[in-house]
Amino acid sequence: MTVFESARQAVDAYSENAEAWKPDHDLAMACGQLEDLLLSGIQSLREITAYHQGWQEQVLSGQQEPDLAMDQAIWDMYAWWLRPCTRVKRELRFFARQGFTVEHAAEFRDCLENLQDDRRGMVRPTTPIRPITADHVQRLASSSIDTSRYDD
Amino acid sequence: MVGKAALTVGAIVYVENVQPPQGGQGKDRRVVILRAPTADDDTFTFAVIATLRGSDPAKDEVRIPHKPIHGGDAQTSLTAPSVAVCRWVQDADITRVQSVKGKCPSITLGEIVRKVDALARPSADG
Repeated sequence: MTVFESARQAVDAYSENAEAWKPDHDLAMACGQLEDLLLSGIQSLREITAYHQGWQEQVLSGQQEPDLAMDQAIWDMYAWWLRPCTRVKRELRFFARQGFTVEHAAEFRDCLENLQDDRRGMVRPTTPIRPITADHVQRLASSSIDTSRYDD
Repeated sequence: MVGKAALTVGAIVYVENVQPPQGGQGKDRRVVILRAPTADDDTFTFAVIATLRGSDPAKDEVRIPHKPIHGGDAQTSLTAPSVAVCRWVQDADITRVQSVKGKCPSITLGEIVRKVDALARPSADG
């Protein structure tokens, strides 16, 4: 092999590697972007949940007036959070198939599954939450309940 | 005794001697707090939590998330399919709380509170 051939072989190898490297690099960049997206998803869900909990505590303790519009707005925020999740799950499967370990993926899946589980069988609220009072307890005290149904 | 600060709305706690509404033998039960005690008031209001019978909750029940794993659901600690019984609502003194078990998700708590409110309304036929 001449020096020229050897150099050409080296250039060819380099060139092929460079071509192959670029998609890998792009993929790694995309994976990093997905990880950032997952983290922001997890954090935004935490923010919604914390706000929701604080709002409920204030209403149920009488510090805030009941407000159906706010209850619905919170419900809609959860729905908005869920909207891109099908696509995000698809991307997660794609990167898993490519052999990537995607950071935050497990926590994101937990968040998603828990939220879907929490909302199962529920619909957008049509009445506001109101504080539970002595009146509620009194009115329900005479309720007829088959407690044998609840003998665990 | 469990500190008052832990007894917030949505907390799932174990309460001793919960009485059946029609009288009879009391029993220690898991409950969800719907009205928390305050600085001036040591009582709180709860709805009883029970095991779900069948595949779907009854009209006056709200399903609470569970996980059939050791330690149960990370938030509720429930290991079996469970419901809040929204007609079985009582007051208790904080001294009857044996332990805090977990927390009801806000979405679920909202549904429980709405159902209790609806069932307690004079027009409720449910």
